[in-house]
Amino acid sequence: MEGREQAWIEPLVLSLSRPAFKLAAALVNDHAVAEEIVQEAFMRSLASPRTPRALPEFRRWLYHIVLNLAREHHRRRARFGLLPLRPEPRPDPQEEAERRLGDAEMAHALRVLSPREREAVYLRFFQDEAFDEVAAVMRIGESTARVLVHRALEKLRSHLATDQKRVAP
Amino acid sequence: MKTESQLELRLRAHLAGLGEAIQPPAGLETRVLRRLRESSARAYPGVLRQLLAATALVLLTAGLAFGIARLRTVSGPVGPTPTAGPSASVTVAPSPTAAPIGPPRLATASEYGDMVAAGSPGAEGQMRIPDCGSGEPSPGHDCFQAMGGSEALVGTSAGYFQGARLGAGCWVYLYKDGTGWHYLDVRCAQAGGTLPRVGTDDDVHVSGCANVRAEPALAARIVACLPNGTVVHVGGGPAYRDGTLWWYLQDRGWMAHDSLVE
Repeated sequence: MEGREQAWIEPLVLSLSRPAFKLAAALVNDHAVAEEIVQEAFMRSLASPRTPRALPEFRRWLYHIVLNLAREHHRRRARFGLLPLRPEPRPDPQEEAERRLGDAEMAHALRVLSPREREAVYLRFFQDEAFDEVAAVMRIGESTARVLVHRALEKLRSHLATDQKRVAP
Repeated sequence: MKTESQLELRLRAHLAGLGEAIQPPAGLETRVLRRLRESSARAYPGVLRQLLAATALVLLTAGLAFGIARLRTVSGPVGPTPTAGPSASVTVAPSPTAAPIGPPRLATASEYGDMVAAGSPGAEGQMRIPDCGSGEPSPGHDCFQAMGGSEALVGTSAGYFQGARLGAGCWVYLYKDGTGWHYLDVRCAQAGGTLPRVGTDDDVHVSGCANVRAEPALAARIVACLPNGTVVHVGGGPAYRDGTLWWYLQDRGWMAHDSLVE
């Protein structure tokens, strides 16, 4: 770091870059975009005078920015998708990984969730966060976080059941 | 409840597998730190920052005065390239009367074929990537691919068609003379709004302000000068005149291509 005032963030970069990358990559399905999101999230954290400096609070702060940037990415992509400008790179690394893992049904079911539901589910089951932490990162009430996760699980269950019926003879 | 637990276990197992499959790239932390360092190097200490702000204010005021004086006195042809002036919009004639010359139309199949034949090699050369041939862009293999004639448009002695490279959409711009189509430029982006196309919004990209003219010609009357970042709606064109590609900006006039791309 050049200035002493930026030195505080260095240990946070070292400890949080990778988990933040995993969260971003899971949300956007694109490693290059995920890295850009992580870099941008740290940049914004450094730029804001309101950024907390203690690890637990900073982690929430950083993850919240990651969620916002991932949401922005999806919005841009959805708008852009209408213009048929960008062909999907094939094979998609995440789809390929999911195919190898063999739970393609679950991967497919996760796509029916709304962005907020997906964020809540990923924080809860991918990052293994407690509900109060999910709520803190998403900046919503804990009961809302519980409702989001509950609703997401209902959707997943329903989708998986429909899939099974479709497959059954 | 039991079903939900099984579902949660299955979800956790799936996401755990996904987590193992996602491997952060080597050197991630180093790149993040480097970017932070670069940004902090740009952040000047207090006194210097105030000095810079004061200087910028003086320059801006002087530039604004110069720009207004220049636009008041301009009578002859002025080039369409960005002028080193103020970043304020100063309109001399707010309602340009010029209509788009020759409304754009979709390219015919044979026109599209000719445009791709003329444009693809130039685009590939500019981007330094090969042609995709019968394949398509994929991770580890960046290449250029024409995307079909449905988005290819022909204006006045100019046109464009759609292509793609890995992770981005591209537009290839061409002009036409008696000998056929000729490559002019290629621009790629991950999102709309950064590439001029008929019927879309675009941003003006200049260091000062960009001339808007009543006609697509270097000698045409200047009707406005738009500052950097102005969002404009491309309503017509493209037209190729005086060795320049022009776009018609709805309710404004004509602007050179270079001022509409980054």
